[in-house]
Parts: sequence; C-alpha cells; structure tokens
Amino acid sequence: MFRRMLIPTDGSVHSERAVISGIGLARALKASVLGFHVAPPFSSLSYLVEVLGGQQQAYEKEMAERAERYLEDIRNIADAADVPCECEYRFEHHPYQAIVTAARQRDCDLIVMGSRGRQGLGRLLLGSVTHRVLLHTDLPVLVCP
Amino acid sequence: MFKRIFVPVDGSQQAMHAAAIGIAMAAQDGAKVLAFEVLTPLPAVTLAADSLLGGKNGHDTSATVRARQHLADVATMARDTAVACEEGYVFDRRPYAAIACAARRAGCDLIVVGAGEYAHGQHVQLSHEVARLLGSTDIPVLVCP
Repeated sequence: MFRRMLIPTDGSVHSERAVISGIGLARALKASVLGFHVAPPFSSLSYLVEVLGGQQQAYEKEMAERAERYLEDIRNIADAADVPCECEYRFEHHPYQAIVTAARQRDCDLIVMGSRGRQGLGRLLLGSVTHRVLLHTDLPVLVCP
Repeated sequence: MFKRIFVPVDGSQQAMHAAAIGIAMAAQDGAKVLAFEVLTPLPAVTLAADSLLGGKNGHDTSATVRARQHLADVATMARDTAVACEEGYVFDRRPYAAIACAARRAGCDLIVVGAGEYAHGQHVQLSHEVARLLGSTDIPVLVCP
C-alpha cells in the first residue's frame, strides 16, 4: 500500500493533528514518514545585501532553529509510535512547490496535511497551501481536519 | 487506524481508482467499506411540473439503475479482497453536503474520494465538490488523483 509518507508541518495545531493522524496511519500500514518544514527565504533588494548580510545570517539561523523545533516534535511522536522517521526543511517562497517537489524527489507515495491554514481566511476555509498542493501533485493527499 | 471507510463514487474511472485505494487500505487494516453515490435530481420548472411528471420517473429509474451498477462494481472489488462492503445512494443537488452528512451518519472515520469527482463529466484536477467537502467535513479525507 503506502510505503513512505510526506508530512509537512507549519507548527500550527492543525498541522500537529495531521502529524498524529499521519503517524498513526504509517504505523497501521507499516510505512515510514518524512517530516518536512518550509521556511520563507530572506528577501532583500540586491543593493542592500551588504548592509543586511549579517541580518540574513541571523534570520536563517533563527528559521533553522524553528524548523528543527517543529521537526523534533514529529520525530518524538514517530519514535513513540515506533515508526521510522526522517526530517528535512527547505527555504522556499511557495510552500506548496517545495512540498510537491520534495514528495517527488524523496519517493513519497502519500502526503498528509491539515485542512486549515494558519493565515487569513485560510483559517476558516480549506488552507491555501493544502489547496495548492491538491492542484499540483499527482500523489494521493490525506487531508486531516 | 481507520475502521469504517466511506467511498463516494460517481461512475468515473478516477472514482473506481480511488475506491480501489480505499479497499486496499481497508484490507490491510481490517476495516469496512461503505460505497455511496449521490444522484442529481431532475430539475423541474414548477409550471411544467405536470408535463414532466412522467419523465421524472424515467430519469430517477435510470439514474438509480446506473448507481446500483457502479456500487455493485465497488462491492465486487471489495469481495475479491475479502473486505466487508455496504452500499447506499441518495438524490441531492449538493454532492459535498450529501457525502459529508452520510459519512457522519454512518460513523465513518475516513472518506476516500477521487480529486475530480462530481465535476459533471469535466476533467479537472480538483472538483469544486471535493474542495467544498474538504472545507465542510470533520472527517479525514484521502484525495486520490
């Protein structure tokens, strides 16, 4: 059936529920999971690079620490359920693109995501990242409420 | 993990593919499957209702016969893998609402649906009905491309 699941997290409560469902399913189907986080890259105008160089490093360090924190939660839940788990984070402007690309590159056969986003109207309706992933992937997507 | 899997179909090939994934998950996890189809009632202008009465019965009968055939195909697929399968259908103008309601009433804990189901015969990556279903149900939904 499913052998390897990509479980993206944005650190929200909805993501956490999807992580728990995904790892539960992985345990039932004897699959492995790939925890994944996408952080927005540091944006600045090119002529400001020299001025902001130090800030960029600080920003990336901060984002990497945050990503590690989110992914550590996935690793802990997977370890408790005795499910093999790897974790990865990337810097990318469009999270849906990073998710679709990573799923293909890392040979995943299922994506597990929350149905609500953490921004704007997405909190009330179907999350925009989940919606875009559904529009751009050729893999099954388990959408958890 | 999941014990009762709700499988809405619309007679399309994609729906049968999604049903096959749902049945495979049920087989691996010892779950039951409920195959379900939502039929569109014939729209009738009130003034012309009298003249349409005869025709309406014809529409309902042929739609029901088709639905039974689709559901029987899913039931055969389930029987082949020794999975318990129930069938049901309903007439409703809003497939997403009918699916969300029937799945909740049947006590299902997963819905497995084709991404382009109920798109009125058009080929789309994600149908409006499936997108609305994701925003309106509190049951996890596995969307299969």
